[in-house]
Amino acid sequence: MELSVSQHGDVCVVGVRGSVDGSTAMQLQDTVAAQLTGSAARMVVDCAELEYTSSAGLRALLAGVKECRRQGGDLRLAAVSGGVRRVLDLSGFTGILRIYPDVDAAVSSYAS
Amino acid sequence: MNGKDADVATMPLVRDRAELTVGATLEELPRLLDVVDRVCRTCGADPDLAFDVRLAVDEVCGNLIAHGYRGLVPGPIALSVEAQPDRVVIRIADRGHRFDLREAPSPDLLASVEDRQVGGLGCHLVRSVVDDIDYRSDPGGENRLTLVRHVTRKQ
Repeated sequence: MELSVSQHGDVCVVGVRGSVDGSTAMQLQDTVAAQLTGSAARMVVDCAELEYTSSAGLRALLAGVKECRRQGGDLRLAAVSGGVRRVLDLSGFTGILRIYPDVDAAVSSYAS
Repeated sequence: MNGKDADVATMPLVRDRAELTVGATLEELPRLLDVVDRVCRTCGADPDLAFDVRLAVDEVCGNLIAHGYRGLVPGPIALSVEAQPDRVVIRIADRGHRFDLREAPSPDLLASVEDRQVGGLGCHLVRSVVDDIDYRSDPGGENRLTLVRHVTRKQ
């Protein structure tokens, strides 16, 4: 799993590439948490290159969403596809996370 | 088979089998998942099948690593992944606490973010992506889980 972090205005975009499983989920959770300190809690997780996640990945996302919303922001997903989409559906996470077709749409969603 | 199934072109999987026994620690999880990935590549599994099989192994082994030997002497996870022409059979054995994932309660899938817990989600996902589950504990202390995922899922 590889992570990238970039800033789009006041929205922080974390790109996840590869697979998030029990051995890598903590790294994702820690990276999200590290971006939150001292900045506006508006995040997007770019899933365009995310090929796989287990419940461990969902745990990391849930922790991120809870903290972002606690700080008055949000964590939104971009470009979710395939099996990852299915895992989110099966878990009921599509009902609690906002998902957009791409990063631009997700970033723009904060403007309204 | 109804007409819908007959339209789906599924090549039979190439027979393959791989096994690995490791200690139930997080550091070993990538090796366990590599076994699954290798068999799926070799047998010609389509992406959905490969994803589901990997997810099932990931969730079961993740649970064993986190909870299976809690309070006990650390022990092994014995994984076997077998591709047959029309299915993938996963066998996972351990010597830890008895835990039948068929009996685990599902999480509340409609709970809000504040109320959401992730506990129970792994078992729910496994039940969702495989077709048959069998679990036995023998008196000698070995637990044996068998998961079967058919190539063509019954709708």
